[in-house]
Amino acid sequence: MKPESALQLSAPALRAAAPAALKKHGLLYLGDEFCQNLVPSPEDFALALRKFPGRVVLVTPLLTDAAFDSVEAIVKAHSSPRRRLEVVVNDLGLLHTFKARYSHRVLVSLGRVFAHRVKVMPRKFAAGFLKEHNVKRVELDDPALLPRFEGLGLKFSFHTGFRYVSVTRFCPWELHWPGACGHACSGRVKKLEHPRLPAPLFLRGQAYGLKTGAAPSHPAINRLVREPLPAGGRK
Amino acid sequence: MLIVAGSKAYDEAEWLLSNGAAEVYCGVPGLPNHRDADQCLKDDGEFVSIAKMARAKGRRALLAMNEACFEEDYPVVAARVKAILKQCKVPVIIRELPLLHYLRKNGVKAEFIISSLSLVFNSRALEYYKNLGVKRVILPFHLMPYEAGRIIGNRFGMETEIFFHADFCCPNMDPACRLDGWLKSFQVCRFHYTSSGKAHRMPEANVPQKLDMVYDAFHAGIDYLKIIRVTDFKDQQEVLREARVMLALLEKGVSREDFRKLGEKLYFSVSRHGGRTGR
Repeated sequence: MKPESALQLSAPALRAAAPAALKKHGLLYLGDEFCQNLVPSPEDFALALRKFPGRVVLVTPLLTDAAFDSVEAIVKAHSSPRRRLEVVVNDLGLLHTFKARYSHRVLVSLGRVFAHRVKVMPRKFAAGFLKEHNVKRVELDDPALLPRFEGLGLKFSFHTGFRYVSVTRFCPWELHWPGACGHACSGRVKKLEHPRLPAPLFLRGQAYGLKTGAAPSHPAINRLVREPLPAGGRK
Repeated sequence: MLIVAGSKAYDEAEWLLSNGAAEVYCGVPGLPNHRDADQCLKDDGEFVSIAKMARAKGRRALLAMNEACFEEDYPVVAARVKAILKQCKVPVIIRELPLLHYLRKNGVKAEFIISSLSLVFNSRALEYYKNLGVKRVILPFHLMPYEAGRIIGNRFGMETEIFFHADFCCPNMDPACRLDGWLKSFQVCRFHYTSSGKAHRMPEANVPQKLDMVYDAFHAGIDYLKIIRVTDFKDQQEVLREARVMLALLEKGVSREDFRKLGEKLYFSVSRHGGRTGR
């Protein structure tokens, strides 16, 4: 069966997106796994539901308490037992809260940052941990991680275009700790080179990563998330 | 605010505890911790000696287990920790959830301290840990004190600890940064990159921003200030002196502006800060 196609957009990118650009995909991944300033507000999420014809998945990074409140407001406003909201989770607090309070309202997908924590867990513990927290799906961008999650009854979303290697919370575009954000990263990418790197690194938002090609073929990959790098260094 | 200093030898631990540190934390080879062997003690026996010496001074030693390890090593790790705890009751700094659960299930009775590497970014994450014997949480390197109010004022009675950012701060977020593992190298984040033909460094906080972290941490009511383990003990001695003077200034009620001015002089009084200012 052909994997479903998803487009990943941050909240500012959604606001700028022409409606025609959104029509090619069945799913919208709204938010960011690496920067909480790119996570949608409840108003952004409502806008996405109006603007995008298909389903909208909420994408979240590690969350401070303030960002947590915003995510929880979206969950409260836009989910119900009959209309469960799918959320990409990278934060233990969010995962735990979903299990304790919202298990009947959300569908949990394990995010890429969290996946690297789970991959080092003993397999039996990881299986129990994921089951206990109702995780049904894992977001991946590296084929090397597939074997670590195989056989656990999970579906995989595979991200193409960008494979994350590192993340910072000291904004590399505006040179400050989290706080007031001027969205200087919007539409920009920086290519970093060094003789010792086997491939260039790309800085996008608050994440450093590698440019990647097509997704591998795997029976449990039933979703492809297109995460294109911006065209260049324009502001 | 009490100082917790990393230590890699008995003599060094004794000096640290005699010169302002309330606690020392140490790793030992074979028990998973976030430092190579050259920054660990010789063996479990040396740790027990430090713990007893610290206790005699009315201070404490903490056992660092802030790294993952293979499941097949869990039984040996648990047995060694039990043996250490039998000789000296010390808190254990832990990172990995499965190891924490395993130790508790297998009769390791300790106060646990959640490592910064566990990435506890919000008070909801503390709820996960509330029934697991956790007494303290170390804030992740990249979580600002001004973002952590609900963690600091948590209702579970957990203490909080923060790194002394006026000494050291990673450009990227450990352990979500996999650059070193990717390249099998050290401090890939500090390479001299080029971008569009121009020199480029991965940005990190500048000195005023680092000093603000210390100022904010003190005023937020964080209980402990952590000084990391380093290879050259003379560096660590300088950093401990720097931290003590900064804390004395803060206790006197110095303003943020004055703290920045005075703190900058203190910062550059430390030899290893001279060539790596980030400014």
